[in-house]
Amino acid sequence: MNTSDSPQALLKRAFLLTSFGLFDDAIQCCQQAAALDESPLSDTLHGAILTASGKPLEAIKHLLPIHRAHPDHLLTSLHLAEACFLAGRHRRGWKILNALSDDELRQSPWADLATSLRDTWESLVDLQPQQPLVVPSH
Amino acid sequence: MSIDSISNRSVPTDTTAAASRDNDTGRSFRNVMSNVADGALGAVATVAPFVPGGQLVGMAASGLRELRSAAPPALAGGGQDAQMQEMFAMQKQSQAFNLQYLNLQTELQDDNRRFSTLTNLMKVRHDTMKAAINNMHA
Repeated sequence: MNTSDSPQALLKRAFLLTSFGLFDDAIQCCQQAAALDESPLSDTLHGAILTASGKPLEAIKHLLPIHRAHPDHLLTSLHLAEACFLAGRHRRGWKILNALSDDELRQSPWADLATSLRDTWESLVDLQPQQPLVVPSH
Repeated sequence: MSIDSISNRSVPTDTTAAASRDNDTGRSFRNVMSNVADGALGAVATVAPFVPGGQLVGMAASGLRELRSAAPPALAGGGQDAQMQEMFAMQKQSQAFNLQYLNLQTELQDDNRRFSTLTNLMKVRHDTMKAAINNMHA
């Protein structure tokens, strides 16, 4: 296998393409990587790119089967939780986050993402729509 | 009309009673001043014929009283009341606008807070994706 076609190279390309906002091309790279790699990472990144491109509902659809197939894969859980939060499904997002083992998270390199997700959605509790301005009558 | 009758018409007792009935200090003040002016003009008109050369003054005083009674409310004493009411209404409106401005400021601060929190989350997600790809076995 050519090094440039390795799953890691494809995912690196996907990461770069995401940085430039070329989400469709990035997703294509993820799909190519997923075909070569059995780990759920490529598919998880595919879901993360969908979230980053503003399609959290599609991301949930994509990540749910991966989460079911790999319930212990922390990164999948975290990206699914994030997609749930962004899609407005807060309860589901919290359920997924709270189901994660704290010890496991602390030992993993994804602790920062988990902490950031918790902090963000704890501080953004009041996401109620704003009241429109009313001009007082004379 | 005699001077006595004029002094009987003089204001203080009548106006004090009116003021006690009416809590609106602006209105009572206007009444007092209006009655004082009316009384003074009446007195001048009455006394003028007894003063040498006062006929002209008497005519002027009578003319002024007529003018005053025929004047539109904005020019006569009644206009002040309306102006005061308008001023209070404007003050109320100004207070309402101040409150709305304060609310708007609070909402902007909240939006800024949300923006910085979400930006931080995006940065962490970006770093996590990068780390996940780099940690991947090639």
